[in-house]
Order: sequence, then structure tokens, then C-alpha cells
Amino acid sequence: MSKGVKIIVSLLTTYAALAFLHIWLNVGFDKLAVGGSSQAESPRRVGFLPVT
Amino acid sequence: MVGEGFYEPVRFSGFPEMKEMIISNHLPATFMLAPMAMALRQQGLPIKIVYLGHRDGTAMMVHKDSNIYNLKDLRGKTIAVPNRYSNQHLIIFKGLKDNGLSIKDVKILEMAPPDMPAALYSKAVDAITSGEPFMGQTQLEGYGRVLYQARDIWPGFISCVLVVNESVIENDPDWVQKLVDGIASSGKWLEVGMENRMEAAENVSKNYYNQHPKLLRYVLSEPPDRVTYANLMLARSEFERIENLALEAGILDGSVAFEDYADTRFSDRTKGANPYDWKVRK
Repeated sequence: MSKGVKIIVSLLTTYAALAFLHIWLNVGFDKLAVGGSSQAESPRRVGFLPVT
Repeated sequence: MVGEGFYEPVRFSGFPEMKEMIISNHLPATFMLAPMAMALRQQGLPIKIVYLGHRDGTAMMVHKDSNIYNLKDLRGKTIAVPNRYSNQHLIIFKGLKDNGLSIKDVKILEMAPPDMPAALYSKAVDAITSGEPFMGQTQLEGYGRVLYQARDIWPGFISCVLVVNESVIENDPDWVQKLVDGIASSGKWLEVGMENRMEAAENVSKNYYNQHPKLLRYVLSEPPDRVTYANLMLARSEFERIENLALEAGILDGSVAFEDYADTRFSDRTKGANPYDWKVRK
């Protein structure tokens, strides 16, 4: 393998590793949080002033 | 602040910050002043009023040493309101008109409700008006006197309404209904009896409002109908009354329509709602 090809393969491998990490962080954690769903449903925000 | 369940309560200190969050699409739902919601909708924001937050619960307070004893005495005085687009502003407009005065006879100052008690105490303003508990706070601390309760001038007074972004209404109407149903059942629960109101005062003061429970106990009981939660359904006639006053006061123009700024579907389904079956801890 030429040096140029090695660099490209190395970059692609790094990119794939980072992409996997990104997916795991965003999806894997969500699965843990909501018990299996890949789409975590975070509660929607409801604003208020402290007035009765 | 994180709520248990399907929504996350976010506390604001003033309405301008809340308005910015709505405009920037970072707040899917919020309680806000009714005329402000109508004005924002008129300006093209994709929001709808779906329910009320409470009724009554607004007073005008003057300093106990002041020489203001009726609305006519307000001539030339400075009055703090939560916002130009508020029913607190409109009720002054109506009250003055009923007494032969005009809104031009007073100076209206916009102020965040939490800042109002200190402004009255220091006599930086002559009168303050907003939702509770900030009005009751001035009584409890001994320097405020009630000039009027909103219901004396405007029975069934509406202050804050629940506003929801149209994209949420379209994509997740079940979430909106769940929220509205929860408010309806909570309101009914509060009206079951004083024991429930006192329990709510303890819980809300510590977990949501960061205020002294004594203050919330006071405004939820002195008198018991100071703030009411029994009927929070949307009624066209009540909003048309707000529209008419707002048009007359010049804070809205003629292009508002109930169908455009309100969505009554969720409110209509709360008819016959029952109180939550929460039991008060002994």
C-alpha cells in the first residue's frame, strides 16, 4: 500500500470510530434511559412565572 | 428544575424573557398573559391559546400610608403593571374609564411582578398590580393595602392562559390534551377544600416557586376565593371582551379573531373533568 492510501484508510477508520462513538453516545444512552426505545422522549418545556 | 413525567417546568421572572423564548421556538408551551398571547399571534407567531391558568388572583396594591382610597385618587400616579399586553393593564383602563378618568391620567410602568413589592415598599411607584402572591406579600409584610381585587371590577378575571406552539398541537395533540387534562384535574382538586390548597401551597412553594410556604398559604386562603381554579375552560365571550378592551386601549388592532388565536378542542374535552384523587399527607 502506498503512503497516500494508508493515510486515507487511517482517516476513514478514525472517522468510522468517531461516528460509532457519536451514535453510541446519542442512541445508546437514550436506549438505557427509556428502556429500549431508540427515540428518547425528553419532557417538553412548559414555562411559567411564579404567580398563582 | 425537572418535573416528574412528561413536561419540564421552566420558571421565568418576567414576561419579556418568556416572549423571546417563544419567538425563538425554544418553548413549546407556556403560561402567559392573555393579551400578550393574542398580540403575538397577531404578529404571526404559530401559537394558540388552549386553556386558562387560573381566574381572579389579581389585585391593585397601594402603600398603606398613601392617600389613595379609590380609583379617582390614582390621577397623576405611577402604576406598575406586568406588561403593556396584560389584563392588569386593561382593567386599569376600564376602571379609570368607569370613574370618568382616562389611562392618560396615570403613568403606567412595566415591571416584573417579583420586583413589585420592593418598588411599593420604597414608594418608587404609587401602586402595583399583578397576579398573586406578590400582591399578598405586601399585605403580609405590613406595607400594602388592597385598592381593589380584580374580580370587583371584572368578575371571573383572566390573567394567564396556556399557550402551545402550533407544531406541537399538530404533531402531538395527545401531549397537549394530557397537559390540559392535568391542569383541569389539578384545578378541581384545589377547589375540593382548604386542606388541598394548603398542601399545594407547601409543595408548590418549595418545588416550583421558591417562595415561603406561608405566603402561598396566605394567598390561597385569605379569602378562599382570592384565586380560583374551578372553571378554566375557554369561552369565546370572555376573550371577545378582552379583544374589545384591548382594541379600545390601542394595544391590539382590528385583525384579531378568536378562531385564529384560540384552539378550544382540548378545553372542550375537559368538560366534566374530575379532581385528581391525590390524598393530603397527614
